[in-house]
Amino acid sequence: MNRDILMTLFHNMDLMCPATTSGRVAQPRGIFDEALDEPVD
Amino acid sequence: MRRPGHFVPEADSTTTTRVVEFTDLEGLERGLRHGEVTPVVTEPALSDIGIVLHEPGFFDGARRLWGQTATLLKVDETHPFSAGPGGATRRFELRPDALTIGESLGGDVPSGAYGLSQEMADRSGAHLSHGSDTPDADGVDETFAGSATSLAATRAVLGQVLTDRDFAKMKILCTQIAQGVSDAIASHALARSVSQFGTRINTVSRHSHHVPGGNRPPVPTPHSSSTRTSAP
Repeated sequence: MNRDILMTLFHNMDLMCPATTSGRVAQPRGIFDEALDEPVD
Repeated sequence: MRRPGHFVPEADSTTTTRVVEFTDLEGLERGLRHGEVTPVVTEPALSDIGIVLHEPGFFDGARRLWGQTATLLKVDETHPFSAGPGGATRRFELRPDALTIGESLGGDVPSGAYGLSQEMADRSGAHLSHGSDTPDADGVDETFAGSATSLAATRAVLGQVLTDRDFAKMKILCTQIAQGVSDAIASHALARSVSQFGTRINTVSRHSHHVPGGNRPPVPTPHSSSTRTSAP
């Protein structure tokens, strides 16, 4: 939520929503990449 | 004590159920060999530990067994429905005698549905008309099991939201996310893998436990952590 995305913790699962636009898809991709930097480095 | 009209099993289900590992054709053959068990109940693809797909040829072999032993098939599409229009049942060309589905069917509104093949419906109807003079004691067909709101939500979802066109768009976007997550995992050399099943992706550990002694898990190659997908 600190990164402007709400993800539920169950199932390690992402479900696509019919209302999602292609512009929104790039956002979680970039944020996921950033988030991985912190615990790994 | 069993009351008239109850739909609960009449015997302890552990004495009347055989458990067979998913996609284990020999196990299924052993389970059905004695002709004592029907129906087979399964998800078309298991959905609680990521997505577990069947081994090639499993359903072909299973269909032969079901035919030889006159076993009924009942599938739950609630989660595998992410496969696309017709769900995993259509993708894997299953012909179940009964099918259940829920959750996404009504958007955020609680809803569920079941379907029967014509043959199964005819057999069920005959059974009910001969054997059910008592009201349903569990209330399965009463108001708390369905409402006008659930029906309206389901109609809207099936008619205007989960259309073939939207499913196609969602799959494309989902593939983009899966690729992005997969690339990020590869660039950080993490022991995770990504799988896609239609409009859903799962990210799961490729190791069941940590390596003793504090060693880091083996570094996956970009190839090994790439997206595994079954024709999304």
